[in-house]
Amino acid sequence: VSRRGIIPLLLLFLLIPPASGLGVGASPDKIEFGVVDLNEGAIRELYVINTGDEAERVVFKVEGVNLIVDPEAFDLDAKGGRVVNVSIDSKEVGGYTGSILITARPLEADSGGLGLGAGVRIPVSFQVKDNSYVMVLAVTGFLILVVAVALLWMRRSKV
Amino acid sequence: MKKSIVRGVNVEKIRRRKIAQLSRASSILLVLILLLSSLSIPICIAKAENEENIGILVIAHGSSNEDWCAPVRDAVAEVNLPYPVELGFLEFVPNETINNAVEKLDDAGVTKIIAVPLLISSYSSHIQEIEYVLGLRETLPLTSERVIIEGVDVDRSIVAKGDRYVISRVPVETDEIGLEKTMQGIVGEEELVPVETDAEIMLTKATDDHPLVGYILTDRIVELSEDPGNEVVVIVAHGTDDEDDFIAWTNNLDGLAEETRKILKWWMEPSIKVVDVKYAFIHLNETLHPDQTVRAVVEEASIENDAVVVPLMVSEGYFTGRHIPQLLENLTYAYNGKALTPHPNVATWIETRVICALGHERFGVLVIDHGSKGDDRVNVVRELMKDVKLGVPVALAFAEYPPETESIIAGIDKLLRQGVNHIIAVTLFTQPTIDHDEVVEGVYEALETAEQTEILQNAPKHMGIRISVAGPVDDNPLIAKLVLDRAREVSEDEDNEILVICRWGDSTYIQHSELYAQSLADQVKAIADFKDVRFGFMGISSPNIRQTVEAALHDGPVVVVTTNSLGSSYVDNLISEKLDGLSYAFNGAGYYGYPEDLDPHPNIARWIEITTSKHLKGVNGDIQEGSTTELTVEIIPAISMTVPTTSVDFGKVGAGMSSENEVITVVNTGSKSAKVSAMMLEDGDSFYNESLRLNSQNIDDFSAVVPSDTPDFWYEYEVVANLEALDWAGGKYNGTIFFVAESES
Repeated sequence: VSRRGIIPLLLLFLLIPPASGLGVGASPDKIEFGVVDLNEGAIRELYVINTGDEAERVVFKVEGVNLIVDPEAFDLDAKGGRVVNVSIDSKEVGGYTGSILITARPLEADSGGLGLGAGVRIPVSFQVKDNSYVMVLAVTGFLILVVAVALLWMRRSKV
Repeated sequence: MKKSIVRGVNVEKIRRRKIAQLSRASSILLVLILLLSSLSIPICIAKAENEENIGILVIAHGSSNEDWCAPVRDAVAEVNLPYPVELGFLEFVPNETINNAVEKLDDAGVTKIIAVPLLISSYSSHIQEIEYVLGLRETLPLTSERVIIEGVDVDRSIVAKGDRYVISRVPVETDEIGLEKTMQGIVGEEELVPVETDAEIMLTKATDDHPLVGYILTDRIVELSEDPGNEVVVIVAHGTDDEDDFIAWTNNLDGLAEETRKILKWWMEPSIKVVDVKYAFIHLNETLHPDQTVRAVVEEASIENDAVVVPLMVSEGYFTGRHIPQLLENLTYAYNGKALTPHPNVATWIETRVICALGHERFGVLVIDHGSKGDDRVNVVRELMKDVKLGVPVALAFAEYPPETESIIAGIDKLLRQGVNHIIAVTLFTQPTIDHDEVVEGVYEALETAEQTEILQNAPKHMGIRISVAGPVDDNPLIAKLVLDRAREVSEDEDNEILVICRWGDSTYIQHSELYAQSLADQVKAIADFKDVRFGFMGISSPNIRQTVEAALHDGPVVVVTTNSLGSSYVDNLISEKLDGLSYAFNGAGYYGYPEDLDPHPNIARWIEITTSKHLKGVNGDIQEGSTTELTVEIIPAISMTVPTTSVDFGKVGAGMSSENEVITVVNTGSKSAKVSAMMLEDGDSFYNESLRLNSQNIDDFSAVVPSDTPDFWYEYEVVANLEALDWAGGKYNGTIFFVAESES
């Protein structure tokens, strides 16, 4: 190909931006809260980005686990990003796994037929433990110890 | 016996290669620049942004007594900010008015003025008067109050004269003394003239209950206290007879008293535990608050304890010198009449108010290199730092053998003096070693040292200073490119050669050494034409360098490059010993080149810029206000799915018949490999759920793994879709199918 032929080809390529349609991305790709105290809860941040070239509606859906995603839905400009908070909303002890489904669709109403959308799914896991009984045991143990010492002291005094 | 051919660094060959690469690179570069601008991929954009010129206006009340004004002037002179600072008095000082100060700032070309009122309370008529003079309010309430000025009872009023306001000071009893005072400028009239400036003006709060004021009071108490266990501290403030403002005064004093008590107890060494810290007012509605007068509070404090009285006044004058002692006549108490000035915390408080008013965190970057005894390394790092373009203050430091002005503590001090309150410490270590950790600890220790006040307190002077750590350089793609460039300097036949990256082993993070080394090798491999890219360690990590090179020689000629910062004959000789008898090409120039042929690779400067900008983005969402250069980098999300088209048209399909195949392209735009599945939403009558086939599978069964593509982050995967229209179907069906990506792991 001659140089003369390459230049218009290059210019043509430069003038046509690549189509990137609708897209959504997120970081991190999974959320592991680890062990969480029943009375304390935990929160993580999730970064969401519109990887498409047009504004879109981003909606979060929690699957199989009790989580709060705040906010649950918003609009994102092309290439725009936003951080959402993911917090545990579980009141019972146990191990939990689930996921957050993030879907993106065009802001404008579709024209009918089969529309396409993009989504990502973020697996989430955590374990809820109740540590309050440890404190109760510690306090009870301490009290028993105090009573025992007191009784011993009283016996010795009598002798 | 194997033949030993060690090809060392051939300087002439490297030079020729560089020239050839440079000419190739320049033509490619032009095309790349055009491409990047067209594709709208922000990689590293520098733009001039800071059109705002900041100026600082410190406002004090003023006094006809020069002894009152002098310490205030001194405090303002101590302010260390990268902006012009001017002092203006509200009244009594004719040639140093607020208007004079604003004119000076205008002359300095400022476009935004941060006005800091060095007053005890934000809740007083003086603040309203200042707001009026600064053009922040159009009218003033016409107030009148009896005040004591230099011992003279005066009716101080705000009087409207036409569209002007004046401060009128009339002596309560006109006599010869009054006339004399008139001559001294105590009584009479002063017009409040709104400033004429195009600059935007922002007024901060007064000292109120700021902790830095609490530390000053603490110092004053320490000077007076002799037996803390039997002492009650009484803070004496001016106060107000306006009941609304009085509530705010008491709130502030509540806070200050509590802070002072805590500082005495927790931050002093040894701890000073006074019985209580109370407060009292000179000027208040005594009918409503008889128990909060100065005399009442000190009397109460003296019943069972000794009273320590400290005035909460900006400067020493009539109130501190005469009036408070008069109010406490015949009582026993400890007192020295010292006001807030002179004290270094006053200047610090002004700086703090300005920094907070400007909003955003004031970032600064502290770049830390390992350092060495010789000048070569120091000079080359200084040289590469000239190429670092950041819109924030930058300081360079060396961990070992630092020049006097380039120690870690000197760097921190330099940044703090430029108003920085969030330091991003960037270490230039080549891997996460204990050296890196020690330097990070050193940064925190140095900050702690810098925080010590000069007044025998352990209290942190720079409360709120944050440190983020970036580094080590490790396996960043920019470093991969650096390694590749070094390899190409000695490579003769890249397509057929094996590149071996020679890394130091270390004794601290043995289990992770391989992780970073493998990652770097992978990054290099992704952008190189080398047949393979491997790694080996000189130290006690695995695999050792000899093992790697011996194995690689079975697959082709070997090129060995090091990842040390500065090339050295010591390292070269060490490798030469370890690889004795093996044939390989070698470049030990590292990041900076050899001492005798310094050649800092530009990617180190780029890495500093990008690493720093990531922190700025992550922390603040945007690069701080006031920066002159903005760095932008597009961070690719871990998991990402993009669908280039937003609908599929199967055309007309007869009931019970199949449609033509349509290709739906889905793209993995994330940084990790993705498992892609599909799901239908809004599928009326479950038409699509039952009839749509993706790669000949039902929607629920569809699954595909789409790898990631670095560095383009665009891996297309085609899904063949068709409809097997159901017998019962008819009409048009709407629905949306989502292609959902999930981390493969």
